[in-house]
Amino acid sequence: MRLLLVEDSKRLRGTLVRALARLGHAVDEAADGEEADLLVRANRYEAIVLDLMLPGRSGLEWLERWRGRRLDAPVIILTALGAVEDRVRGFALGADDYLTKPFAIEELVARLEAVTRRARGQADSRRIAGDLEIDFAARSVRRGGADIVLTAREFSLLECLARHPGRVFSREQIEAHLYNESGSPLSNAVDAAVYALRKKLDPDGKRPLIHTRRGLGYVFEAK
Amino acid sequence: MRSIRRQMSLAVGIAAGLVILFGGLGVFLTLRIALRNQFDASLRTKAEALVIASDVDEEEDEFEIDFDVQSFAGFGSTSPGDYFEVRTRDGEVVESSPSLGNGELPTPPGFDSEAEGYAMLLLPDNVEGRAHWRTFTPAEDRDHGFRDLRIIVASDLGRLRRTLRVAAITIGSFGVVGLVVSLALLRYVVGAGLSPLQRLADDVQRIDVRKLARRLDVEDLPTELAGVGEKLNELLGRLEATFARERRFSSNAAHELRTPLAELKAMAELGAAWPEEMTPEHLAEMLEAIGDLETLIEKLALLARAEGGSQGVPEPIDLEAVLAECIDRRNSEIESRRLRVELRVEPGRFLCDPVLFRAVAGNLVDNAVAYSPEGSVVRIEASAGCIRVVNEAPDLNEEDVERLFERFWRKEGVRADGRHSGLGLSIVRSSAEFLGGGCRAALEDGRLCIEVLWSS
Repeated sequence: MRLLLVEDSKRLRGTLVRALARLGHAVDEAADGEEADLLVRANRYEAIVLDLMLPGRSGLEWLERWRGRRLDAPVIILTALGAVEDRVRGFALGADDYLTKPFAIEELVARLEAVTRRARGQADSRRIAGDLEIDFAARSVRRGGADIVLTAREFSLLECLARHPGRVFSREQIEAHLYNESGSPLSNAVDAAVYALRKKLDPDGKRPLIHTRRGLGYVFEAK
Repeated sequence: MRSIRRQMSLAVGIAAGLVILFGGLGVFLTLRIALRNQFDASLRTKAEALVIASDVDEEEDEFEIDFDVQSFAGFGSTSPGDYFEVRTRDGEVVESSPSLGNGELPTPPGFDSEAEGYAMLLLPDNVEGRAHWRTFTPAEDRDHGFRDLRIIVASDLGRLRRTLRVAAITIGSFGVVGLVVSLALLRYVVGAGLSPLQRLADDVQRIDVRKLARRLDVEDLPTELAGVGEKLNELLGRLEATFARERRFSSNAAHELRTPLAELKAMAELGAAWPEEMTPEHLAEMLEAIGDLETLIEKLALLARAEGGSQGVPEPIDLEAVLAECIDRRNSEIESRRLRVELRVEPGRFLCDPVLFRAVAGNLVDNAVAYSPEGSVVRIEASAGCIRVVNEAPDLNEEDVERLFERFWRKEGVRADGRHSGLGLSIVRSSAEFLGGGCRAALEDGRLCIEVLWSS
């Protein structure tokens, strides 16, 4: 997933970015609202994690602005303030979920998965396509009953394609999903990742699931 | 419980009862005296009338009183309650009223010794009466046969008694009715008079710790209570401000503690999930977070100590040494930010709580060093009893200066971490106040001047 993390504590921000990257997410980070605003204008994020107590304008003020500009990415508010009125105000201004510090990274990841799933209008975190079974919450993949071990980036690529079966993704679109602002992939990085994923998903004799549309990009199809 | 209404009603009720009782008694006694005097006067008038009407029949040498006058004076046979008797000096009865028949009046007490007087007398038929007697000589007594006669006039007291009884009953009835009416009136007046007090009491009872924004309505209060209402409102205002400050403080304290905790938890989780992330740099960051947490807890403890008022043992303080040490601790930052610290101390020793004093000095120096612009000058002047720190503060405005000593206040844009907790100056203030002094801050030509006083 392509995520934006807005948090003014450098240590917390760094740690979360590292953990989320380890899980295969592409995370952009911002230390304050101004920086986050620039990133939000430039990129399309699947979810935003927003700290409330930011230097300058508060997180809620920024959220209100973004919602005013029709930014529809789900937002998880992150804060040390646990008072009911703060939470209610957060939800009223367009937050999708709330997490009080200190929290477990695992919980943040589960909530990110839940809010993005809801944003896509899906009730189940699993997807079954033919004999392929993907659990986005558990980040596990099985084909024909056999577990397939994917790296975080490979899973993220599969997630990008398999969430929208039949839709053709250009290399640029896949890049935006897999890499954050600072990660500048090599020109053939996407092709290499698709190649590696195909090798794991379609062992000998299995029907291929990821197809190439020449000049357009890649598409996931179970048929 | 004592009730003002009951107490007042009881006291005023008793007073009203006593006034009515003694008033009634006074009226009754006055009436009785007046009636008695009137009774005596009428006896006297009757006696005088009889004396004037008395005559001596010279032919028969007989004393007599005109019968018409007798009847007119009320001694006719039809008036059994009135009697008279005329006696000679020897006690011989020469004339008596028809009501006496053949009987005689008993001699009133004092009759023999006094020429004239009044006395109570038991009349015939055992009726209580009153008598008046006087000595006279009939005008026609030419040969002095009837000199110094004595006349006794007596009347039954029954009518007077009956009149007095009716008066007593009338006064008593009016008294009882008056008492009942005045008690009812009293109840109403006391109730109406105390109703603003009752309203105020109800209002005060409705004060809720969770809703301190409510104020008492003092507009309708009478003058006697207006002051109380206003004072209570003032108190509520102060209470509300204190509660708000306390709430802000605990919420801020929780926030400040949660941030480093969240960092530590996330860092530990990262290391637990991916051990290869446990690099020396990562561990150093964790230690840094723990350091911040420690600093924050120390500051909170210091604040609690200064505000809780637990006094340490006073020790002699070397002002110059303490300040030099505080500056020395910040030396690397002073050098890296090319600051110049000018320290001017009037040497002196005094006794003070060493922990709190170091907190004052340290936080003042820390604050000046942390917020002075690069390459500027920090001036510190100190004497036994006062420290004055002046540093450049181009970003501060008057409003900021007012909030400077507020706990957890930080100028917008200042990053939150253990060093910039926003507690430093509030520790300075609380400590200075605890040390018997205080502090003030002012902005002078873009320079922040903080002055701390304490009793040395």
